[in-house]
Amino acid sequence: MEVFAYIIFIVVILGPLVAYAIYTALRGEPRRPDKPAKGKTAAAAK
Amino acid sequence: MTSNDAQAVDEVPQEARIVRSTGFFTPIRISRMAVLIALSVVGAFVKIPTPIGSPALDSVPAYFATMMKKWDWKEAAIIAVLARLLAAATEGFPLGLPVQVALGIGNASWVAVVVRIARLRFGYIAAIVATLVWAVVISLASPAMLMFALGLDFQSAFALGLTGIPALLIAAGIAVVVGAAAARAVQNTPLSK
Repeated sequence: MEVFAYIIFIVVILGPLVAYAIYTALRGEPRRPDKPAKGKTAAAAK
Repeated sequence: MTSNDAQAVDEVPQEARIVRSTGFFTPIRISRMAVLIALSVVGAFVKIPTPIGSPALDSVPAYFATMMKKWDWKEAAIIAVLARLLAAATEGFPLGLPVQVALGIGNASWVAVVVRIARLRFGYIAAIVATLVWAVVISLASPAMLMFALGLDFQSAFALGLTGIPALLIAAGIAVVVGAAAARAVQNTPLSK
């Protein structure tokens, strides 16, 4: 049980950091595209 | 640049030229990280009194940095690690330095990865929810840390980890809300570039 606790702790603290570092190095950060401008700003942009 | 400009640049003394760094640590990034790390030390002294301990607001600048869309996630991670270590230093490193380093790394993956993904993909509310969910996940994973630091058996360490959940939820909730509000206020200003 203790060994599992140590493994889970290491995975929880290091897993996201390592996985995201590899992912962003390969693919860049996952971003939601910006919403188009609304109302007067959109009309002015046209 | 014209040939005249090039000549003018040559006339400027070597000491007066602006050094432009092209790597990760640009001068503006180092400057804002220094300010935010200093602010996290200030936040470490803002304690929230609860019946089972006094969590502090040392992660607010890290949450602020991770919510900024155009900033890099790695600077939020660095701020989160240093914020945890400096906050622990103000309290005399409870549970020992190795545990605090592990907590700092855990803080970095929590703030700079989990919260940032929620922020970038789904927005501020999702980031706040992710923070609260991850506070519970960290608490459930913490028995190993308590076994290592205090020499407890698994059941005692698990019970002790569970008692920390309310304080962690309160501190993380306040920190992420303050960080999100600050980031939302400056998101479309020149500061965000």
